[in-house]
Amino acid sequence: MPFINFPFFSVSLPSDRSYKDIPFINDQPSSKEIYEINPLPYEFFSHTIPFFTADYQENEIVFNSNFIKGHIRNKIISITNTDSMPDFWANIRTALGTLTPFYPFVFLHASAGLLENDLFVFSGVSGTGKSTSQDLLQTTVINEDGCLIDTSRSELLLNPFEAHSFFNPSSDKIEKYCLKRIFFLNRKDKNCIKKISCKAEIITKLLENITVFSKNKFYMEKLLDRIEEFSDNKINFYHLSYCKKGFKEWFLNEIYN
Amino acid sequence: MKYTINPDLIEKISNNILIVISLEDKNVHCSNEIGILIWQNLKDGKSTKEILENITSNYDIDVTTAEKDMEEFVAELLKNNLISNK
Repeated sequence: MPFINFPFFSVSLPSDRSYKDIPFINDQPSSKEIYEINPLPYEFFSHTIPFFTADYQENEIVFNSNFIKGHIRNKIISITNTDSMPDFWANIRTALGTLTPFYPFVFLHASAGLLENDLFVFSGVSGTGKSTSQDLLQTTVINEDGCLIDTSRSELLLNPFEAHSFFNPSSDKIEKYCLKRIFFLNRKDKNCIKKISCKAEIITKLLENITVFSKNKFYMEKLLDRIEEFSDNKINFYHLSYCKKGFKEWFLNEIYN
Repeated sequence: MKYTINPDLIEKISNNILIVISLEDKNVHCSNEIGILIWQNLKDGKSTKEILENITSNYDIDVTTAEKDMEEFVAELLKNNLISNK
């Protein structure tokens, strides 16, 4: 069994399993070398290797030693060329999102911020105001644009580098933040919040904001299973629209009172 | 009139909600309990007349209302390319 290490977590890939019925996940894979997915064991978060190594055998994840550029050879997941560490991790998260068929991960188009240890997740397509919402609330943003979510545990998963913007060898675990509320943003010019009670609406909104979509039936069926599982958890979902003036006071009053 | 279900769909019934995702345009469609009944009947190859009979025998609804609801639902399915005429 090939074994690959890279910072914060390590990956052990079973070489005897293949999923050739999954041609690809991303609609526009950046590498022509990717053909199929190989599952990563769920325990991949549990090991710590605070240095970088790479194994260039086939059927394994491959990252080059400068820690920036990488891809998964002969696999579905592509890690595109990047020129910054945050981009690299953003791509890692995207890659992990494509593991939906095998593990309870989905990748949600959302930003996440902490305000006095309370997590605020704003979801919406580009331009709906995810970053602006975090700015107005004056949160500490821990995730700018894409949230990797463990649907079985309702947790936001984050590499410590992303959360704290520096390499800390002692911070070797993926950080987990409990999700209690998700706000779906709409473009309107007034402050308005509405809790979503209809399950169909929750599922529809989550699917609208999932970033990794595919025409592959197997993937989509699994994705739907994950979304359904997630929508059954004790998370509150809201429609949220806002105008900038007085947003923070109004919003916190609505949430806490 | 009979219809066929578009093969490029993902469907799931959960808590009396029908969720259909079109793999072509990635649109998500949801429906209620009666929608589930109509959908399942369409999948079974039943005609609109047979479906109407099923609705009125399973639900306390008059024929005129049921027919109108069914026609609207089927029209919506056709419009979204979820079904096509046989």
